[in-house]
Amino acid sequence: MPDLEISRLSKSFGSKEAVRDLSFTVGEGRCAGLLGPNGAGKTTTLLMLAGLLAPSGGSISFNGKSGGDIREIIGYLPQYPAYPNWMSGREFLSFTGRLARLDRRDAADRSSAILERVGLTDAADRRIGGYSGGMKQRLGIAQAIIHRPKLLLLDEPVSALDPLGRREVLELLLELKKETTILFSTHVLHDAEAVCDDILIIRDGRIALGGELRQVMREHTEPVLTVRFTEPRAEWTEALAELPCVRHADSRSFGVVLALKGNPEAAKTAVLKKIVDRAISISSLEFGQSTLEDLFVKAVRP
Amino acid sequence: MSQWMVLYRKEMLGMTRSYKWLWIPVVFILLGVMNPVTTAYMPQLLEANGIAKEVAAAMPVPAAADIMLKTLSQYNTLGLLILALSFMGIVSGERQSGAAVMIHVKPVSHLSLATAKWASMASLALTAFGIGYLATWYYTDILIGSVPPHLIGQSLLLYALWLLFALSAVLMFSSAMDSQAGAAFLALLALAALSLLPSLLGRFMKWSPGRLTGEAGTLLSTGSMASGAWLPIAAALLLTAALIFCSSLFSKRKAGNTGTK
Amino acid sequence: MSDTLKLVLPLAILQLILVAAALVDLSKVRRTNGPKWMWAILILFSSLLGTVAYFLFGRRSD
Repeated sequence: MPDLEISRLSKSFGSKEAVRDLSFTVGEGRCAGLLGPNGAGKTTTLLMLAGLLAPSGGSISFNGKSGGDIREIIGYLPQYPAYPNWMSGREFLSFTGRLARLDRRDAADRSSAILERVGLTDAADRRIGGYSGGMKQRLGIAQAIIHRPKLLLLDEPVSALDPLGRREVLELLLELKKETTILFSTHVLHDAEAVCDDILIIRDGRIALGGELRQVMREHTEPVLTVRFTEPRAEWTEALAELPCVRHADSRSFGVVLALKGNPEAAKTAVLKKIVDRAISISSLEFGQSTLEDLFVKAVRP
Repeated sequence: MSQWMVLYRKEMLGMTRSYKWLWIPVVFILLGVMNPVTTAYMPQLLEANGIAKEVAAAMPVPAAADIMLKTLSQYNTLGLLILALSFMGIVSGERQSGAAVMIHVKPVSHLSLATAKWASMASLALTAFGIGYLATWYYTDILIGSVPPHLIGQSLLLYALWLLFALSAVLMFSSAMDSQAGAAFLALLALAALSLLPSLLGRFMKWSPGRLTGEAGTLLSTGSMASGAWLPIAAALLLTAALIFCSSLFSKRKAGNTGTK
Repeated sequence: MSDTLKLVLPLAILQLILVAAALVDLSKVRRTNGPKWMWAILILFSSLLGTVAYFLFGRRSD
C-alpha cells in the first residue's frame, strides 16, 4: 500500500511550468531519492508536498487521505535552512516542537534527545547565529524530526556540506529510515545510491525514470567496456564506435567508453579483435557495468 | 491556545533580546516628560541664555492640559515613527531570511501567527505609551498643574485605540511587502493621511481612526467627549481586525517564498 | 534646587541606562550595519538620538 501518492501534480509560475503531470508513489517506510538536474522542479515538488506552495493541479494523498492539513505528520527541511539567530538551538527546537503540538515536557525531552542524536549537545545553549553551516543543517534535520513525523521531506540535505558533514548526515538518514518514510532531493548521485531504496529521476518537471533502485539498475544498466589508449587518437575511437556490437561510444580524454549491446561475450571478442586488427595501442581495458551516474545522464539528457 | 501562546512568547522573547523592551519604553518616557520639564524651566533657560527677565516672565505659561495634548501629538509623530521603524520587518524580515518557512511548515495557522505578532507589538507599544503618558502626567502635575485622572484615563484609552490600529497597519504592510523601508513608509503615509484628511474633507472622513488623537485632545481641553466620537472608535476596532486578517492572507500567499529565490 | 534635582535625576538615569545598554550590546554583537566605532561615537556624543538610531538601524535584524 503506498504511503504517499502523488498524482498528476503540476505547478506553473506565470507561463513557466516548473512541475507538470508528476505522478509517483513512495511506499511506507521506504527511502526515496528525488534526483534531477538543477531547475528540474525538485524544490518546487517538495514545497508543494510540505504544504508551503499550492499546486496548480493534481493531488497529493498521504495514507489514502488527500487534502487537509498534513503538516502535523510531516517534517520538512528546506534547502537553505534559516533561523531566528537570536535563539539558542535548544530554544528553537522546543519552540518548533511546541508548534507541532507537543506539550512542554515532551518538547523539552525530545529536544535534548534529538540534540544529542544530531551531535549538537555542546552547542545547544549557544545562539544559532554562531553556528557553522553543518551545524545549521543538523539543526534543520533536528527540527524536522522533533514531532516524530511519519514522512520526512528533505531538500538537498547534504549538498552544501563538506565530506565529513556529509557522511554524518548520511549516517543519520540511514538510521532515520528505520523509523519514517523519507523523500529527499539531491543532485549528488553517490549519496542517493548510499541510502535510497527507490529513486525518482525527474527532468523538466516530470518523471524520466523511477522505481526501486536495485531493479532500475538491473534493468537499465548495460555492459560497458572502458578502453584507455596510450595516446588519444580520434580514428581509434571512430574505429571502435563503428562496430555493430557498440550501441554508444563516449569519447573521453583517456580513450573511449563503449556501451555494448547483444551478447556481452561476443561483443567483447569483437572489440578485442578490432583492437588487434587496427593495431590500436591500449594501456588498459576494463569491463564493467554502467553506474547510476551514467543512467542519470542518459535519463536527463534531452 | 497553547500554540498561540508559544508564538506570542517567542515574539516577546525576540523583542527582549533585541532590547526593544528596554529602549522603546524609555524613549517614550523621555519624549513625554521633556514637555513639562522644558516648559517649567523655560524662564530659567531663557535667562541663562541672556534673555531679559521681563521677557521671560511675560511668556505665557500653558495650561496643564495643553502639555498633555502636546505630548500626544509628539507621540503621534516621533512615537509612531519609532514604532513603524521598529516593527517594519516583523513579518517580511523573517520571510526574507527564510526563517518563516520553519514556522509555516509546522501546523500553524496564518491567522494565529498574525494575531500573535500583533499582540506582541501591542503589548510593547501600549506599555511604552502607557508608562510614558502617566510619567508625563506625574511631571505635569508637579511642575505645571493638575489634570483630572478620569480625563487622563479616557484620553489614554482613546489614543491607545489609535495605536492599536496603527500597529495593525504596520503589520499588514510588513506582510504584503518585501521591502521593510517601503512598508514603514506606506504605513506612515496611510496613518498621516487618516490623521490629516478629516480636517480637509471633514464630511467624508468622519469615520477616520485618525480623528481619535483629536478626540483625545478635545477631551483633555474641554473635559468632555465630542458627540460623534463613537464613529472613529467603531471604525478603528473594525479596521484593526480587518487589517490583521489581511495580514494573515498576505503571509499565506507568500508562504512559499523561501527567501533565497 | 534639590526639588529640581529630584525631578531631573530620574530622567538622567534613564538616559544613562539607555546609553549603557547600547554600548554593552555594541560590544557584544559581531557585526553592525556600518562601522562599530562610528556607532560608539554616535551613542556617546549625540545622546538620545544616536542611541535610538543605533537600536533602529545599527543592530542587524538577526
